[in-house]
Amino acid sequence: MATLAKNLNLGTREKTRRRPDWANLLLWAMLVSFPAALLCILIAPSDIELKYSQRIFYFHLPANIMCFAAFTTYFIGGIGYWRTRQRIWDILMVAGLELGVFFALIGIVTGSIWARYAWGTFWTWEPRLTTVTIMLVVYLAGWMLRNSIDDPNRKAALTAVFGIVGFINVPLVFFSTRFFPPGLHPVIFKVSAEGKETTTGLEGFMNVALIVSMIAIGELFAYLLIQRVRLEQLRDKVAVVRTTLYEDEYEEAV
Amino acid sequence: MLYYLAEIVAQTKTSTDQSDGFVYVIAAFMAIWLFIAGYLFWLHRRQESLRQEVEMLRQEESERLQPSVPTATNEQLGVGGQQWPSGRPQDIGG
Repeated sequence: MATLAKNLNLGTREKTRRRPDWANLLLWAMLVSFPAALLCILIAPSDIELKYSQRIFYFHLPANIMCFAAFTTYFIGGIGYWRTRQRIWDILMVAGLELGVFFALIGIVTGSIWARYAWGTFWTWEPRLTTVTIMLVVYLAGWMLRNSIDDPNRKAALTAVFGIVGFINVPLVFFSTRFFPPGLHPVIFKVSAEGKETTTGLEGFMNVALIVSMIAIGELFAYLLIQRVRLEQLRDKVAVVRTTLYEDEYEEAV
Repeated sequence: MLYYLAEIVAQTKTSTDQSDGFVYVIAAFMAIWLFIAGYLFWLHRRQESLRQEVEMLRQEESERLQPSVPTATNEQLGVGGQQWPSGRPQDIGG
């Protein structure tokens, strides 16, 4: 009974532990970094050819990088679950999958709007866009499959399989602009002629704007990941309490 | 829809705005913020429904912890025994 009563204090914060609340810290950090990113984007010089539209890039690239990070989280969760069969890895998989789809959609929509100006069309079936679409469809299929299964163990196992097998899409998308026949999509990270350093093709303050935007979107990713994991943990606790409560009632009634 | 919105705005703007792609930047930023707001709203809704469930469970628990005092009506009617305080007994896993 004491455990049940303790479990019911789900909404209250434990005062005994003095651990920093990372979600709150990230929220405060975002309140600084997002306006800073917006300011940097406004100050940054325009591209000669792409003019103002080039500014879309400062959110488009970080969103895609976070999409890769989310699917990598999903992949790590999949491997972890496959080895240990622990629920925490399943939670990580769900969070990674959901955030990956979320950031992939942001990347595709912003990229399409930019493409309308740069290429004159919202969409074209060139290597990068095609591989991104395949990746998104694969992960969406995995998500739908997960939601259609009731048995938690089977659900987690299938999600893990999708996370491990589907991860092959991530490097495929990244290298699609390098290994496939050249398309319209520009290659962002290039190795210099000497082969010593990697450049972004940006100049001066443009790099600062990109770094600040990357930090802002990175913080958003971390914040959403923490919130998503907490939501799943809360759901687990509620399920445990519900089961305990009804089991107790049943025993008393019998 | 955002694409069409961008197109409409682009058509109504002056030729200078169209040529420098400013409206596309606005459309893209609007899309990003709509996505973020939508996802946060979705998370918030799910969190709220769980909180409501916690409240409901708390209420059930407090009802259970209260000492049961037989009422006159029960005695008169001769109804005894343990009753389900509330909730759904059919939910017990079987």
